[in-house]
Formats: sequence, structure tokens, C-alpha cells
Amino acid sequence: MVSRLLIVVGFAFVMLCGQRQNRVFWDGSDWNRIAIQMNQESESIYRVKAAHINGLLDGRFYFYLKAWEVEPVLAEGAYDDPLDLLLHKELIKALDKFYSDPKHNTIPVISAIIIANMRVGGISEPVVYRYIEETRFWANSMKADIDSMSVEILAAKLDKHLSKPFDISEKYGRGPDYERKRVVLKPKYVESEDKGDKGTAWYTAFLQGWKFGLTGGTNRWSSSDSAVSSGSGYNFVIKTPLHFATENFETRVRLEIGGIKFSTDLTGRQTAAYVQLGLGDSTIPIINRMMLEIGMGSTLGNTSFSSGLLITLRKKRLDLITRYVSASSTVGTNLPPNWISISMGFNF
Amino acid sequence: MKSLTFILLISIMCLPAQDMDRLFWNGSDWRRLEKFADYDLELTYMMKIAYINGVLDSRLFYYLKAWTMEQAFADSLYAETVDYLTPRELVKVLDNFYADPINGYIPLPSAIIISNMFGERIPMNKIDDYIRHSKDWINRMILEKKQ
Repeated sequence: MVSRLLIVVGFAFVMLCGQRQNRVFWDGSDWNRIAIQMNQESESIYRVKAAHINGLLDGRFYFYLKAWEVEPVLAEGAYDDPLDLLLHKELIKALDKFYSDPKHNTIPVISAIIIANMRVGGISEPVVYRYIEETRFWANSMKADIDSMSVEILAAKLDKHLSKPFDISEKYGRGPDYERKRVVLKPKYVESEDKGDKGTAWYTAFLQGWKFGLTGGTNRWSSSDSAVSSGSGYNFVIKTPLHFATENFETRVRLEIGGIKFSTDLTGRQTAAYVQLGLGDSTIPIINRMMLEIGMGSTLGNTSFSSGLLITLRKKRLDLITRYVSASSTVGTNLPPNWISISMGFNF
Repeated sequence: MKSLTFILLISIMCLPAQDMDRLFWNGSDWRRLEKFADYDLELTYMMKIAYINGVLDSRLFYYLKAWTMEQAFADSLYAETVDYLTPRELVKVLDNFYADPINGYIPLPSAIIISNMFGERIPMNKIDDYIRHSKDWINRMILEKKQ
């Protein structure tokens, strides 16, 4: 009993030690921890603190210049904080004093620098106090949001990474002919080719990505005839210039090739192309995608047309497809004039 | 003797002037940290981490501020990835990057972006383009400052 209790307590202790608090910015606790990490050696402490302040000021100046090149007015507005009224030595002293009060521990260092400069710049104490309270509020609420949203943030970061355009030349390629212009948001797909790229094959203009899948199912037209009717096939989903996607809406072109069996003596090949449009990222629970489609193809050598509904589940992997198919001609094949195809497919 | 004194005087006058030309910490500052830290590896590492955290904190702070003013502007301006590598990895990549003297005058904030581009395995020609534009940009900035 005691050993079990010891294990539980030990496990809880390990869990507690392993926990790390989400921290967005370096704040008072990091600032004060520098002294402990440097074994209270004043010269080392000073160097590390000075390096951090240099980083903050360099970062601010660098991104200010970058912003100014694009939107001078917005840059002036965003970077209007006073940060350079104090020397590094004075600033470190002011920050040491500021963070000696434990209630300022959650204030980010960059805000503390602004506060120190506000005081030196003659800003009245009530205004400085209000700034401190506002900073404390947003820093704490951000920390709380991150504690509760870590998973979403990680997902958003992954999404940002995956959708990152490799073509960054528009943003950074500021040669001598660079013209200032309105900011354009990044494109959604990484697959899009550079307009200036040479040596790309002609078909890349039409083919911008593809997916492969397998489908199988049953065909129904009357209960007695369709007892042994089945179908299976491979499908390719091809992204073309017509492939279009917004946050919710999506269009696709899908090609399917496979076999079909209506009865033991009525089997053959079927091929068809479908244009699908509908919800790309559905908010409906379980359903990832829901699209209407129209298609045209060949079934056992006869032209066929179809319209249907595609529902995708399981992270856009599992397709449930219901189609109403009409065959244009049945001469010599005894093909039913129309039937309902119900199939299930898996996308790789 | 007179000419030697003259040369020495000129050298002494030029040294502080060279320092003034620098807008940001760059490769020479990065490499010099080891010397400043008396070749104490722990202290060198701490100073490098402190600097990197400073740049990233500053970027995030002003991104959030710009975001409250104009979301599209902020999202576009701060679109590049700077947090793909952990600070420890970033220090290693920056050490390698600045080991090449030709990269010495690239500002550290640019080098942080470049290091993350290496980490993300962005095509080399794009990274080379970015390095070239960073060099052009910092040279232009220094010239404009001088003028």
C-alpha cells in the first residue's frame, strides 16, 4: 500500500517537474533567472542582459525598416514607441529595479523597456501605470489563451508551414526595379509554379498535382437484375488550372478507370471524368468534404452520363459516392438504360 | 616616423567610424561573442540565445501591434518563418553560416530568417537569392545612412 502511494506521489512529482509553462516573451522571471544561471557573476549577467537588449533593439529596427519600405505610414504608427532614450547600462539598471517588484514578473522585457523610456521621457506616472496594467492584462490573457490553445496553435503553425509559398521573391526580391505596392497575401498552394521558371514541361500548365485512389461498390437498377452487379476501379484526382479552392468552396476534376460487372456475362471496362464542386472544408461534424458532381464517360463501350453526390470522411481519405448513371445506347450489350451506383473509395 | 604617426592616427580615427557604420549585429559581432565571453562556452551560448530571443520577441511584439492596426499588412510583412528551428539549433546553424566570411556583414535578423529557410529545406536558389538581396539591402541602408 505504501509502495503504491510512493509510486503515485513520485509519478505526480515527475509530472509536475516535467510541466513547462507556456511563455510567449522573455519576461521578469526570465530576466531575474539570468542572475541565477550565471552564478551571480555580475559581468556575465550584464553581458547576457545587454545581448538580449541588443536583440530586442536590432529586431525592432530591422522589422521597422522592412515595414517602412512597404507601408511607411503604418510602420511609423506601429513602431512609434520610445526605446532609445537610455544607454544600455542605464536600461539594465532600470529593468533590474522594475523587475525587483514581483508583481511585474509577467510584463515582457520589451514592454519594460518601453516603460523605462516613458519614465525618462517625462510621461506622467498615471499614464505609465495605465500602460503597465494594460500590458499585464494582454500578456496574461495571451498566456492563458496559449495554455488552452496549444494544440490549435501547433496545428495553425503546421498549416502555415505547409501552405508557405516557396516563391518568396515577390516579398524579398527587391532589386533595383522594385516598386512599392499594396501588400498581397500569400498564395494558398505551394504547388503553384513560378511564372518566370524556364524549362518546365508544357503539361505542367494543365497538371498542377494529382492523387490516387481505389473505389468499389454496387450498381442498382431493379432488385431482381442487380443482385450480382458490382463495380471497382481506380481513380485519379487531377488538379488543373480549373482546380479552385477557397476557405470552404472547392472544385476538382476526377478521372476514374476500372471494371464493372452487371451480370456474369455482362462485364467490361468503365472510364469517366467528373467535375466536382462543393464544400472543400466542411464544418459539418465527421464530414470533411461534400461535393456535387457531373460526369461523362464510357461504360462497356457505351457513352454514359452521371450526376451524383460525394461525401468524404476520415481526413479526406474515405469517399462515399452515390451516382445516377444514364447510358446513351444499349445496342448489343443489354446494358440497362440507367442505374444507381453506390460506391466507396479510399484515397492515398 | 612622422608618416608612421600619421598612419596610426588615421587608423585610430577609422576604427570607431567603422563601428558606427553597422546598423545591426552581424557576423563579426556573432563571432566576437566568444572572445567577449573569455572563451567561456556556456556564457557564449547564453549571450547568443539572449540575442536571438531578443530579436524574436521584438518581432512578435511588433507583429501583434501591427496586427491590431492592419491584419493583412502584418500577416504579409511577417510571413517568413523564424521559429522553425529551436534556439539551440538556430545557434548551431548561425555558427555555420557565419563561419563563411563572405556572410559576415549580413545582419543577424536576416541570418535568422536564412537559417530557418535552410531548416525548412527551401530550394537553394531561393535561399541564395535571399542572401544576395540581404547583402544588397544592408549595403543600401548603410550607404543611405552615410549620405
